[in-house]
Amino acid sequence: MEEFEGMAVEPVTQWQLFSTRLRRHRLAMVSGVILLLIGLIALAAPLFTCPNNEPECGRLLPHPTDQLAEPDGRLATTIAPRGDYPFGTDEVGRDVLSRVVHGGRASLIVGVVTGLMVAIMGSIVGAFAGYYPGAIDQGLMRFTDLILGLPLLPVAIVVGRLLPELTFVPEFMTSGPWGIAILLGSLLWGGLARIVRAEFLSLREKEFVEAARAAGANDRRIIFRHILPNAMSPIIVQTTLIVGAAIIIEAALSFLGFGVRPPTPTWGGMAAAGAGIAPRGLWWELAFSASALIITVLSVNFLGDGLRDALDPTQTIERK
Amino acid sequence: MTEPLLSVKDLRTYFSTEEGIVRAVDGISFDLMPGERLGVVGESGSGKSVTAMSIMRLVEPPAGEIVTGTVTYHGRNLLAITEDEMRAVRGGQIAMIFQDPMTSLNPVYTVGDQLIETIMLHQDVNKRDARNVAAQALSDVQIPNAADRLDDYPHQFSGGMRQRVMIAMGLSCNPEVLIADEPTTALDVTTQAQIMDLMLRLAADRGTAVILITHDLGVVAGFCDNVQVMYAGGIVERGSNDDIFYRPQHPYTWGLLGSMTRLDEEQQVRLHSIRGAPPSVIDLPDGCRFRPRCDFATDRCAQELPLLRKIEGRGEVACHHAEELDLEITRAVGAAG
Amino acid sequence: MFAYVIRRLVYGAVTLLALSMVVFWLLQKTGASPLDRLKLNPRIQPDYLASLTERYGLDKSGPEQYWIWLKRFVTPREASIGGLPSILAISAGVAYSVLASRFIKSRQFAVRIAKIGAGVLIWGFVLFTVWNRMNIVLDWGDSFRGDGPVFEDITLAAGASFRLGMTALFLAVMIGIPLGIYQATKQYSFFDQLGTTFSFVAFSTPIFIIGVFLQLGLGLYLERWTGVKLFYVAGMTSSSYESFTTLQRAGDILQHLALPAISIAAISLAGYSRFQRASMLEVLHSDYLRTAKAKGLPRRRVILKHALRNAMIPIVTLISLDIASIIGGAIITESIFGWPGVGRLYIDAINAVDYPAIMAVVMAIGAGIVVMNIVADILYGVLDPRVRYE
Repeated sequence: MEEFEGMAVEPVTQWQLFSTRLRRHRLAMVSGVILLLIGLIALAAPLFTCPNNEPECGRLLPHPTDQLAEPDGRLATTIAPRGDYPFGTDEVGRDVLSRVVHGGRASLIVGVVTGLMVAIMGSIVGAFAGYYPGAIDQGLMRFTDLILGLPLLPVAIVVGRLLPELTFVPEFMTSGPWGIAILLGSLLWGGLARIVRAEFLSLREKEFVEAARAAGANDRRIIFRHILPNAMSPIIVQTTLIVGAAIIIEAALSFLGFGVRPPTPTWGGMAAAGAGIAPRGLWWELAFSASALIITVLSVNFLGDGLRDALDPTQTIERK
Repeated sequence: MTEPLLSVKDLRTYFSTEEGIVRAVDGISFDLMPGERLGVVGESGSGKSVTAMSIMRLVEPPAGEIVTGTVTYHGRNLLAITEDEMRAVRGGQIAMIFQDPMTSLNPVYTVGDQLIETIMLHQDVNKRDARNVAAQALSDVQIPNAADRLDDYPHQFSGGMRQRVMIAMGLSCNPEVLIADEPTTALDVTTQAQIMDLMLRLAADRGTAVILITHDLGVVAGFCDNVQVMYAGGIVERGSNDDIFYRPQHPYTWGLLGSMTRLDEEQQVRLHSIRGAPPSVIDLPDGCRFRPRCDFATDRCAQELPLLRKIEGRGEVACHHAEELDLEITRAVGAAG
Repeated sequence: MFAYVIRRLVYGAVTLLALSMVVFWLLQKTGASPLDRLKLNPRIQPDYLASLTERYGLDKSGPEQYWIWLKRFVTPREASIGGLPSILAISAGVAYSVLASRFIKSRQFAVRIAKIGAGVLIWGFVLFTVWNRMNIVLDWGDSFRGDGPVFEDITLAAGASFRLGMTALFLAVMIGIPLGIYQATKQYSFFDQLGTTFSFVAFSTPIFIIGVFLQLGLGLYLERWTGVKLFYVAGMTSSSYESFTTLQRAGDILQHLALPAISIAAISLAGYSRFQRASMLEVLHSDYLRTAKAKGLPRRRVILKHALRNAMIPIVTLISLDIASIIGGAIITESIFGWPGVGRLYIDAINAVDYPAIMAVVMAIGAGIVVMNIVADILYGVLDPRVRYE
């Protein structure tokens, strides 16, 4: 840009603006780092945990079955947190730390897979509905309304319950997090589709789209190369919200026993088991699984909040 | 000489932001005579709207604060009276209308509700009389079927009609002073002219003093008796309409005039633009605030803040070189032409 | 408006139809016949199985079974709407709605309120008359678990769920909205920061964790440590409820209701206060509020008259969207607190894969959501004069 009174005026790109704004949002940065750590630990979990006391697992901590005696010599299965079991053991003597770490895998798979599905399906449906007015728009939006009209939790519960028994569902989806993730992904995209459609409706009329059309770009190129990148901000923000919601719903399903099936550890399942033994004063399984869940969802939501502040170009500097 | 109706002395209004203290209005003084129509002109950010908001005491703490100054009105300092006393002045004796008629009316109440509310607040009338007053106010601003339209909601009016409603609301209590903050900026040109005509006639008929805030010199030319030009929180030039338009003394005023299209000149006149951008009112330059953009700046301008002074046979100006520049400005205008 | 409500009801019916198809289809695709489970029970006679097969058409194809179910589901076993008085009442309601929407066109707020208020009163009277005189028993099948007709179970449980859900909604609205408004008027104060932090944490906490912690903390451990039984952790009434005086009964209900209602309300409340704060802030910075101040209105009146109504409009949408999540939350909470509502009925039916019960409960929940959303939309129109039902 021009030089004025000896001050060089540097052009600032969208990306630079975004990253400065995000960095100013300290809580969002911390949340991002926490999520990254949780993700890495969960990825590496099979290397150093044995959630079900497998005899041949590569655990760095001492093996629970060797150590079930309390200091007074009494044999115990449920051990309160202590040096070698920082989080204690559960009712059947499994290491809670191992299970909490391992349980993150289910939550993250559900969060990431559901988020991706929602982002892709919501964007595509919303893009086509917003770009092609008339029959396509009408048809797609009626379908979207139908999906949005379904009572989410009741449907998720009945499908979650039936998943292991459904004959047409592939093996890998029946009892693990994948099935739940795909189920939630196919139920949750409606809101994003509406948002993307609204964006497309207004962007479709903008001059740069006219210019692209005049330059001979075909519809597909205009939709995916010209309009979609401009609708990215709401897509990212909405997807972050969905990730948090999906993690919570998976946990709720597992808590009720209709989500990821035992013996695979999940935070929701552990909370249910922990709630069962907590009245006897055995608080740790509930406390640690619940904390892991809350910290993860809180981080996702803080990150989403920061992203929204950073991505919203209408926001001015005065706003805190 | 008559007493001024409203007298502003050394008004300073600062805003605190993350970046620092914004000195939006920084020590301005002026008088408003009864029935005078005063134009306040400047670029956005020059402090003209904040001046109006300060007079009305609508600057919101903690962000904004009136640091010093007095606004004398009928012997009272408006900045020192209680909030309750100030409320009686607001809307009743000093009314204000705003820039964007589309958003300045409450969308969930009928215009009648909003007019009657104002009238009953400042006049001792019952609801039925207030309704009659409101209907009269609407017909004064030439809204057809005024009595019926009282029951309509703002979204049922067009932009120009809404600004008429705002004017009706402002004038409904016969204020002595009307502050109009960019009343026509959001409207199209034809509507602009109609609204300004209407305001001129209503103000003249009732003898209302008007402070017209605008960035549009064209609007000022047809409406005001006197004009003051604001730049970066201060007044740089003040004078009668003729002084400002035919004998501008400050390089900034000259620049503003040069960047205005005139119908009475040859078509091939090139529009002049003032180079650079207005300074951030956080880091104001020392000395004259216009210096970085001024073609005639000298060392003295960098060190000493010029004060407003009267020039014989002309208006007041805040420029060290007003006398010497005279010729050069004329020449420069000629050169530009 | 009348036409609008009718259209919304039709859309709702289509959604419910789709919902029933999906769930019915899924139940058929489990690879096991509904009877397989019953066959495991030695006490069940073969001729009972045969009668079930015949009644539900279990030997027929999937679509035929669905058709049999649907016909049975919508055809009342007994039905009378209560004779002439009911018919007169209904005609009066329809007549008022049609005439009012045709002839009362004024957009003035008082007229609108009067018009809609009269509509609500008249329709309330209609419903009251019909409710007292009608006798409708729908055949929604018998529970496979042998509890008798599912329809009766649901009508019983619906009352309990309604009590819980409405209390939760009431708490969330009555606390969440004023909280958000107060936060907005005191932006960036300590209280505001505290409220924002609270709502963020509550918003990120799954409802079952809130429920379990309330149950353990305020229910179990409070009593264990202090000896005071303030709240009950399970059920809707004590076993000796019948012998209580009216006052004792009210107290007993509150003691049972408090914890599950707070669990459900907490998350909604967090959402409402956050949203209300944002919308109030937007209004507080609006041009028309500046106009109101410039007219010389007192600050109290500026906020109570000019700001509140505008700031409350958007939250009605949020509440209407939130009704589904309150019902969802109720399902989880009812199972934690043993509340005898529709949610717990649902969980029990699902655990037992009790086909008629699952179908019936899922439809009842879906219908509840549809109706509540329509009510919320009507409320929205009352608040905002710009809304027209077209």
